[in-house]
Amino acid sequence: MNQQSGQRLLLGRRIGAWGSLHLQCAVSSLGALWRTRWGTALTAAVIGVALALPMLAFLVVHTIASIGDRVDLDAQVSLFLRPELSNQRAQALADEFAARSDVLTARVITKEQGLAEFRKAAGLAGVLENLSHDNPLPAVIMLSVTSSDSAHLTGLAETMARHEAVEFVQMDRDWVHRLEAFVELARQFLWLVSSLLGTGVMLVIGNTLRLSIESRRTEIEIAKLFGASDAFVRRSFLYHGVYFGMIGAAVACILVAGAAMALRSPIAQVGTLYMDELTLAGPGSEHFIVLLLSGSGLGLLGAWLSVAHHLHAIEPH
Amino acid sequence: MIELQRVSKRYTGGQEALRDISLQVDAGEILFLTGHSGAGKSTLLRLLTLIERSSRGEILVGGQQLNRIRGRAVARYRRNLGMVFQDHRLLMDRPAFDNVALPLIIAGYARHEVARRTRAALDRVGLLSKERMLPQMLSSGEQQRVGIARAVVHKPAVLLADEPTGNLDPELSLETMRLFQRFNQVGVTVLIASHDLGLIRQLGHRVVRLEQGTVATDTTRKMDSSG
Repeated sequence: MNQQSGQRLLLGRRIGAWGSLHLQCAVSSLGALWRTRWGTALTAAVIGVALALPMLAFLVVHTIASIGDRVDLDAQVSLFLRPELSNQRAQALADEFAARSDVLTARVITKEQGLAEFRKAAGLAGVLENLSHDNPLPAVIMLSVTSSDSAHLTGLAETMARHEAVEFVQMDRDWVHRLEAFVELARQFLWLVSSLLGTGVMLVIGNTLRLSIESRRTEIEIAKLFGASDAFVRRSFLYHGVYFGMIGAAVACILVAGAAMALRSPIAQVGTLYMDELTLAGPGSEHFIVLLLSGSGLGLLGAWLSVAHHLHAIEPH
Repeated sequence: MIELQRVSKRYTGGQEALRDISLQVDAGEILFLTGHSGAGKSTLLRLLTLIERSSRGEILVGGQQLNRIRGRAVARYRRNLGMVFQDHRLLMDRPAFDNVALPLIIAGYARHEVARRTRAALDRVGLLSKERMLPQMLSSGEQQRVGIARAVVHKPAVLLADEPTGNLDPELSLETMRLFQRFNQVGVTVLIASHDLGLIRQLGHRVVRLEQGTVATDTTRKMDSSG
């Protein structure tokens, strides 16, 4: 056998030994968790709740934000014309407005179109049936504007409001802006709460491991006497941390899935208010993956902090 | 194999446990350390296992200067030692097999190799049939033999034992010492701290008696001077 292949064999064997060391450690850590399964379950439940809350809040905020996203975000101004004006007159006005330099397009929604849309959206077909021969709705001109600058928009709206044919001007972006501001606030708050709860998860896992290190002090001392390196001792606790995080994340997945089911009908109700079909934006597999990854990541981090702090102090005597 | 050159150990409290000790143990030798409690036997073993550091002097084990072994090298050094304790120091919630396997797992042996060597070591101390038992299900003598199997399972060059027969009746004590003799016969350097003088004389090996931190008598030296 030549030297190179010999070295490769040695390296391969080393990697194999390292892998089997990890596997052994992974399995034995799992066994240790099973021996203290009630304590493990309790810790996992705490972690599960702490992870489920921000994920649920994220889903709800994301869902509400989607209402705004679905609305055409081109700057739009709706001009509600006087009811007595005919569709023909409305079209003539629209052409006139479209010629303005600050207006991109002007589209007319006739009285009949307005009624049809209203009927469809509001689900009030029966009630409106009687009104069909006497349509109370005005014609509407939708202006899309070249500039979305809000001062400019307001200026245009004021000019239009002074026009004799226009009864009422509505800037469609108003409520979208309000919603966006609200969603932004909710997002900021969500980040804050998520980081706090994430820190909480880390501390819970760190503290659980601190107790576990304390209760296994003799074992650690004996292992060190027989030549266990810090890395060897640390490894088993790091696996513990990851397992805690993962089991907690699994609990969180179940909680989120359950809560999503419970939220289905109230969310749909919010949807009807905005005349849109609305469903909770998840949870999908990507959310579960995020939960599992953040759970195990926080577990590893919490374990690392705790172990770095407490393990060093234990030396055989 | 083990060499102490003018070694002193003073604890932080000011108590001087070892005073200017020089001692040499050859490879493959078996040596008994005796003396009253507080004479420095345990301190000497603690220096050899790097639980403590000497205040002065040089200790060499297998050619390595212990003062120079720091950090990660400590763990690596300890993997070449076998240790037996008076209080056994077993993992009470693990069966005999797991206890004996510990040094092999730490050294990173493959699983089948761990099983093979662990069983061989348990067989040598006559406990193969009890590998699944927890330490508290075993007698004190059996627990000590689990500890001995653990100390030799990874074939260390040096075996250190601190009062290994301290809690055993005379018959079990003799049996335990015979075990050490058998390991010594296959080339392991053995150093045993014990105050069981009667038993030690019976075995007829080199005996070093410590007194107030110094070597009071050394049977090899006595033989050298008289012969």
